[in-house]
Formats: sequence, C-alpha cells, structure tokens
Amino acid sequence: MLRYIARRALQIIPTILGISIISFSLLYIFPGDPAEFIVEARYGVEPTQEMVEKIRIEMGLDKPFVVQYFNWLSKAVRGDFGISWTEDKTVMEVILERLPISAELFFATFAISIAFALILGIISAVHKDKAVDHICRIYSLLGISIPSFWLGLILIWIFSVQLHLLPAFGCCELKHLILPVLTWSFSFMAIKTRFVRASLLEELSQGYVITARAKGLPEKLIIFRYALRNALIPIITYFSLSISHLIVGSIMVEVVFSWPGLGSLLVESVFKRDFPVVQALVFLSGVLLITMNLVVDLLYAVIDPRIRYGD
Amino acid sequence: MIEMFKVIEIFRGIEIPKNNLCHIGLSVVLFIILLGSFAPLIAKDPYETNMAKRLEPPSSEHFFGADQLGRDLFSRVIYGARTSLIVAITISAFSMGIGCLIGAVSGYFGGIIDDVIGRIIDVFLSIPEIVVNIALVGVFCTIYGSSTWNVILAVVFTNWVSYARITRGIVLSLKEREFIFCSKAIGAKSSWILFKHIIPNALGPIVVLATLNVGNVILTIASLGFLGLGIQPPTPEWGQLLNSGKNYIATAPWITFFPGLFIALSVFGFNLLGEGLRDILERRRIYE
Amino acid sequence: MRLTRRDFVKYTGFGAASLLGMSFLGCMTKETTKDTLIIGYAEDLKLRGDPAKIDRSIPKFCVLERLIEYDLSSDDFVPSLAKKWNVENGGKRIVFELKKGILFSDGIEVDANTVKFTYDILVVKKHSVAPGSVEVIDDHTVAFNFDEAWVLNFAKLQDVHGLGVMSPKSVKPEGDPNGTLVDLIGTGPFKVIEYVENQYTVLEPNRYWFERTGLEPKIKKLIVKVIPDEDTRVMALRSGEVDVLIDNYHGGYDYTPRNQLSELKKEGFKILAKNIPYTWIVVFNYKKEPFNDVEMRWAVNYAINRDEIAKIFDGWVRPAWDGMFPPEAPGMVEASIRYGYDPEKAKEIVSGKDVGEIKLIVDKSQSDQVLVAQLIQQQLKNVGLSVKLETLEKGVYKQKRNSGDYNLRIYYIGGSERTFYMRIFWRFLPPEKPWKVYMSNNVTEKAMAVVKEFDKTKRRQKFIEFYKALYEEAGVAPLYYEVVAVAEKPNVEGIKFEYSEPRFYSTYVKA
Repeated sequence: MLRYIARRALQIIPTILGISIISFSLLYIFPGDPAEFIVEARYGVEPTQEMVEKIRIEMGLDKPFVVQYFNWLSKAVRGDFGISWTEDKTVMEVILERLPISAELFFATFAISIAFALILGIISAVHKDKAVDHICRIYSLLGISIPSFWLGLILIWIFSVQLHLLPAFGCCELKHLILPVLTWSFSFMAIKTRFVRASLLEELSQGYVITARAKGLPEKLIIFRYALRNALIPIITYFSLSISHLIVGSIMVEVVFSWPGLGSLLVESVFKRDFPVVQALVFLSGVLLITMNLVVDLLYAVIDPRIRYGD
Repeated sequence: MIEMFKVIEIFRGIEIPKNNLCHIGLSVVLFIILLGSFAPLIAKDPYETNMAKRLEPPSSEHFFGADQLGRDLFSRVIYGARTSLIVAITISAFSMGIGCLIGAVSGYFGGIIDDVIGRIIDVFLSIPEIVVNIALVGVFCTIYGSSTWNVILAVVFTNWVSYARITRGIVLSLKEREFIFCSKAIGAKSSWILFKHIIPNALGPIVVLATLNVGNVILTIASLGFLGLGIQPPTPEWGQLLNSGKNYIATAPWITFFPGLFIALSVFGFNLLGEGLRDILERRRIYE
Repeated sequence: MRLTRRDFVKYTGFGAASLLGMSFLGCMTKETTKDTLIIGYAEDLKLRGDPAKIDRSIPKFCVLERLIEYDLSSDDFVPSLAKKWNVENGGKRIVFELKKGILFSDGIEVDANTVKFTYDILVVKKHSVAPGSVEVIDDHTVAFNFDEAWVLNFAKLQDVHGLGVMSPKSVKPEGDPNGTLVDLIGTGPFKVIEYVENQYTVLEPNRYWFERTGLEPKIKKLIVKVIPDEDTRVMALRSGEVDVLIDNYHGGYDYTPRNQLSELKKEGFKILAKNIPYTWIVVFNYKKEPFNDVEMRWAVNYAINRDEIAKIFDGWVRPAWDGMFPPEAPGMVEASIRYGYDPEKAKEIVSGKDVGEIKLIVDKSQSDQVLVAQLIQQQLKNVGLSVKLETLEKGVYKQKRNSGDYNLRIYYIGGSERTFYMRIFWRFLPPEKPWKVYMSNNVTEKAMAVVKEFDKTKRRQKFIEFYKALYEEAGVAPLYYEVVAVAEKPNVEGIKFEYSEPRFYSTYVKA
C-alpha cells in the first residue's frame, strides 16, 4: 500500500515541475524591463537608471533565466513567492488574506450543489426517460451553456434592481452570499447532476440489481441501500475532484458580484500587472488540481482494493 | 476534401430514431452560422453612432434597443456572432491541427517520444485552463496592446491538449489492430499509414470533440471579453457587450440581456449537436 | 415512487422557503444610524508609510490644512493658516507669518518648526511641488526659498499634490522628515481614529477646529470605505452600503463615472456637481505627420461635435465650445474664443491632403474615455479620416504615449481650482516630457509669461495672450469641461464644496 502511495506521489513530481515552468515563464513573455515597472509601481515616479539598477539587483533580475527559475522554484515550494509588485506585502500574504473569503463562497456553493445534485440525480435516474428525467437532462445542458456571468447579472437585475431584496455586491454576510451561490450552483450543479445520474444508472444496470429485483426486493430498498451506496464511491471521488475548481470556477462569479476572493484577485492582478501574484495563483491552482487528483486516486485505492493490486 | 467525405461516410446510413438532440442542436448551430454569415444583409452598421437614440429601449427601429452611443444593439449582436464564430473556429482549427498531430505522433511512435509527450500532455491537463488564459491574455495585452490574435494564441495554448489526448488514445488502440500490422508487413511507410488508416479512423470522435470544443471556446472568448481582456471595442463581441451593459442594468437591461442570450444559445446549440453526434457514434460502435 | 416524489417536493419546498427567509433576514439587518456618515471612495487613504504619499482627498482636506488657499473667482491666494506674507528676492523667497493659537487635534500649537517639518518632508524627497528649502525665522514666522521666481511658488504650497501642516508626532522617529507615518495629526475638522489598510478609515470631529471656527459638528463619526472598482462603488451607493460617493481627482481614474450620474439622479439620489477649470481634450502628436500640420489640427477641431460628446454624460458636463478652459478660468471670457462645428470645412481640408491611417489611443480602464474615443472615431470617419482605435491597458498606453507611437490621444488640461496653475506647468512648460500636451516657441513663451507675472491684472492679460496663441496654433482639441461630483443619498445634508473639494464639517444625516 505504501509503495503504491509513494509511486503515485513520485509520478506527480514531473507534472508539478512542468506547471512551475509554465507559471514562471508567464512573466518572461513580458517585454521591456520588469525592473522599470516595479520602480514605477512602488515609487510612483519616472524610473531613473539608478533606481532601476537597484531594483534589478534586489530582485535578482540580472541573472540568467534558468538561475532565476530555480531561485523562484526553491522559494516557491516553501511558500515564498516573493513580494507583490503593487502592494507592500508578500505574495503569500495577499493570497492568504483572500483565501478564507473565497473558501466561504466555495463551501456554501459546494454544500448546496451537492445536496441538490444528489436529489436531482437520483430522481432523474430513477425516473429514467420520463418527463422528469428529460427536464433534468435539459437542465444539465442549460447549466453548462448559460454563462455564469450572464446568469449573475440577470439575478442581480431581478433581485437587486427590481425587487430590492438582496444586495448586488459585497461580502461576506449571508445576504451577500445568496445570489453568488445561486449563480455558481446553477452551473456547478448541472455537471454534478449528470454524473450522479450516470453513476446511479450504471449501478442499476448491474447484475446484482437485476437479481435483487427478481427476488422481489422492494424497489426503494434496492435503490437506496444497495445501488446508491455503491454508486456513492465514484460520486464522492468525483465531488472531491471538484474542490480543485476553487480558483477556476469562482473567477467569473467573484468578478460579477465583486466578491473579494482569489478569483477576482487573479483578474485584478493581471490588470495591475502584479505578476508575482499571477504566477503564484497559476502555480497554486495547478498544484491544487494535481494534489486533489492524487488524493482522490489514493482514496479510491483505499476503498477499492482492486485498483491497488491491478496497477 | 476527401476527409470531409469520410466524415459523412461515418455518419451515413445510421438511423437517428429518437435522437432529437442532434436535430435541435444542428438547427441552432446552423441558425447562428447563418446569422453570422449574412450579417451585412440582416443588420445595419454596428459602428454607426447616433447620440439622439442613446439608450433607447427595443423598438421597431432597433429590435434589441440601442447602446450608450446610440448604436443598434441588434446589429452589434449579429456581427458579434460573426466575430465569435470566426475566432472560435480559428482557435479550434489551430488546436485540432497542433493537438491531433502531436497526439498521433506520440501514440504511433511510442517509446520515449510517447513518454515525453505524454508527460507534457499531463502537465497541460493539470493546469486550470481559464486561469492560464486570463494570465496569458493579460500578459499579451501588456506587450501588444489588445488584439484578437492575443486571444487566439492564449486559448490555443491550453486548448490543443484535449485533441492531443483523444488522438493519442485512439492511435494507441488502433496501432495494435490487424490491418496496421498487415500494412507494416507489406512495407508501408509510417507516414502513409498515419494518414491513410489512422487519422480517418480517428475522425469520428475528433469531430465530436471539435463540435463540443467550439461551444466551449465561444464561452471562453466571451468570458475573456466580459473581463475586458478579449476583443476590444468598438468591434462588437458578446462578452464585451455584456460587460458594457453592466453599468446600465437598472435603466437599459437589454444591453445585458441580448448578448448573453446569444452566448447561451450558441453554446447550447454546439453542446447539443456534439452530444447528439456522440450518441450516433456510440450507436455505430455498438453495431460494429 | 410516490414517497420519492413527495420527498422531492418536500426538499425543494424547504429549500426555497429557507432561501426566501434568508433574503428577508438580509433586509432586516440593515443598520440605520443617524450620526455616522459612510463615504465610498476609490483609493486607500495610505495613512501609513511614506507621509508624502497620503491620499489626496480626505486626509488632505478633512485632516490637514494649508498655509494658503487659492480662490479661482478672484484669482487670488488667500490666507488659511498663514496670516500674511511677504514676497522677497523677486519672488524666490516668501516669508509667512502664522496665525497664533491654531492647535493640532492633540492640543499642541502649530508653530514655525512644525511647518518646517511638514515641508521638509517634501524637500528631502525632492517632491514635484517641494520648495527649495524652509527656514524658521521665529516662533511664528517661516521663510520658503524657491529656485525660480514665479507664481507657481504659491501654487505649490496649496496644490493637491503637496501637503498640509502636520504634527511632527505623526511620524516615527518624531520630527524626522524621513520618518514613517504612524498617525496623521493635523489641524483640520476631523481626526483619524482607526485605519485599516485597503478597507476603511474612521474619523471623528476635531474639537479644536470646531472651537476655532465656532461651528458645531453634527455627526459623530465619518467612515471612509475603500471600493476600488467604479461600478462597485455605484452599486454600493444604490444598495445603501455607503451614503456618499466622492471623486478622486486624477485624470479620470477612480471617480464616479459621469455616464451613471443621470441614472442615479433618476433613482432619487442627490448629485452635487461643481464646475472646475478642467477640460478633456484630444492631444495631437504634433511631432509627426499628419498633425504637424496646423490645418489638419484645425480639421479635427471642426470635425468634432462637442454637443454629442457632452451628451454621453447627459448634461453633467459642458461641451467645450467657448475655449480650451471653461469661462471660470482667469481671462477666458475676455479672450472670446470660439470653437465651431463645421464638418464640411473639415472634409474640405482632409480631401486636399493625403492622410494615412490615424492611430487614436485610449486607456482601457477609463470607461468614460473609451466611450468618448469611440464617438470621436465615428465623427472623424464622417469627414473622411480613417481612425484606428486602440483601447490599451494602462501600461501599454503609457509606453505608446512615451514613445510617441500614436497620432491622437485623449487627455486633460487644467485641474481642480487649486491645481490649475501647476497644470499649466505640467502641460505646457519645459522640460519636455511625454505627457506634455503642446509646446511651440510661441505658446511656450506665452505660458511662461503667465506664470512669471506676480501682478494679478497683468497676469490676466498674459493669460489671454496665452489662450489666443494656443487657439491659433490649434494646439489642442477641447472636448468638454469637467465637474467634480458628489453623489449622496437623499437624506444626507450639508455637504458643500470649498475650493473644489467636498467638505463634511456641516454634514448631517436626516433620519
């Protein structure tokens, strides 16, 4: 078992290295002199040669690309992404400030999406091919087609502008949470519902279910005690994978509702040209994705011995 | 040209019984394509300003209303279809070209090439696409100012992987089949085998992927446009129109409503079409 | 099956009910306090770190005061913390006599040493509005030495980029001009109680100021909330999170978008707008073709319909027909300048010349100017000019501006009243810099003559000559005159403008 974990963990290292190269290089497509820009951003005056030189040496920008990359990487794995180019803080401080705010939105959405995805998915699977099922399938397609930013604006128009029921922006109280969660859940849920439906259907087509039905077991028992339990395994692992959508999915929603989380941090930093923060976010989101995949794989291996031995 | 016939051949002769998805999807997609193609005939000049008609609600003269500079929103949305489609198809085409080639080479030649390329594909798959797109477009913007090519380059950078992965998988499975073995025995060159046997057989799933992909790319372009990173005004683009309408949501909600509706419609259409095609393909596989 | 369906209905019903319930709860927890005023503002007030970098608005006008102020209507510099002054050495030295009995918010009296300390901060940092040096003559007399002998010496001392008198206790180590700001202590109507960087600042009335002026404060607390995005600020006002929005005046960044003011008024908010001598213009790259030709510059001036451009802002701004500065600017009315709209004439000029594609650059982050640029592009197209519009990200915009890679760009001249004079320097006088607007031998000479003239009446004449020279050479194409605006909830009263800044010392919030 440990060997399996070790092997899988080693496998992801090259991938992480790859991501780090891509994140780091993003900065180097930037032309002209990063040092000049930093001077301007920090001191607000036209950069003089001496200031630029000072910054260049201070930030190690005078060394060759590869050396800079290794410097960055060795610090990055310890969580030191350097100093923000526009704020007087380290990149990590900037990110950690916003992390709990993103987390609040994410967990609220996650909880609601899972609950409703389960319910809708089960109903859809159980009533396969009937009206309810078709509605759910159409909803799934709508969920991935309707842009979250459009839906968000429409909800703002209905609930904020017309009905004056909810605030259109801000964080972090309950009333601020409702519209963003609704918007984000709409698309989040759509994908999950499909998956729940598919998993459950696959379970229900298994041999033991047919046997159980033949034996005359009540349908509700079959669905809830047997099929669902077995289907839960892929469902749970799939849901866990979604945690990696923390940064990714939140971007548009956070921008529409001005929710000051990591998603809007990415967009703001790109506009302010605070590239160390952008680098860090790209790197971290990639690492998060890979790590979650790894964790899920391992969980799966723990639950399902066939996988361990088969590899 | 021959490839196109091959594509049709794959889908020919298959009954499409209750598969209404495909039909609806196809009609929606064709509708959007027609709108974009015949834009000059259907719509007026999307750049013409008319301050007297500023922020007018929908009327017989301006079907979707007018924007902050009095431009006809209907025309801007229709021309926006043209922009979105052309850019999305360009991106998909480039991604397909690069991705399929890399995937096929990787799968066919195997060995170290496959290992290395496989790793690279893994890395790219692990990066959250939209994050990199935003970062890249942002960075490109600081170099070249904003242009459509920034968007195309940035999205192709992350988009080629899905094509590579599928092609590689197909090629790997096909490689072991008899007819390849026989061809090699006869002494056929690798490149000939690749083009004559492997790629045509891989076309089916790739077409499905391409269809779904165009839908996704349209959404990505619109998202970038909404953030202000994509195609810049005055060129009409749906996401950018949505963004400009944000400020006027209280008094001119049509600026927000219509572009978004069309984004949803296009993505929906392409997704339905893709799903439908996938169903047909699976049905065919069952018959095989 | 029946049970499952009922369960589904149960769950959705419960879910919907709880969502509705939560939203009503949200409504009910809104606060209604009458003695606190919440201001929404674009930037952090920067009350820590470098004291020269404090934000230009609330800190400088609610917490600090200056030695003198500038009154545009009389084109005079008037006493504030200084009682009177003497100009010596042809204008290179100004000796101020301070008023007695002015107290900082911690009760300590202002004297010459504290004034020297404040302006030494600018001197050691070689700030753009720094004097050359500051001398203490006696307890209440301070002398300022400058390198040049011009009116700008006065302008510098009250310019918005400068500082107001602050206590040496504001920095650590105490009294060190190179020190770091730890607590901004000034003589103004409010003092800082709490500061959370990038989030909010809390201020309270400074009783010494109210004692000195004999007024009564009507609010107990002033809170400034930092909301960087302009659309978000407007939404904050609409939803009641803030009571007032004020502008940050720096070239259109970070203010309340003019194109939203009408919407707000329709919804019942009060908009206070004060005209300022600030004009948005089209700047020509007159160093290269085609705008090195004065006729082409006139063609652009004829082609622009200023009424249409002002219409983008629904009447909140005035179209710039009567000169490159609004009528309030000294000498503007007497100069009798008139820009006309004559597209036929413009077409005539253009058709006689071989003009390639014209590049118009604009900064993407200024939503108002992006709209203006699109309109101008169309108007120029109508007279036969092919204009390529580039909406650029701020850094790229600056790069292109600095390297001259453009033909036209949108910019502004003039400023709030107090910055009017310094802007003449920053836009029209040497040394050459990329952001200067128009310099030619004639115009530059006339501009220099204005700022070197200490006598008000003669200076007015010089202004008229400067305006006329700029007009004849079509150095700029003025678009519209700006205002400084305050958007407030209907129950807020008593905000008034003084020298282009909104003041809150008589503000109160009705229940």
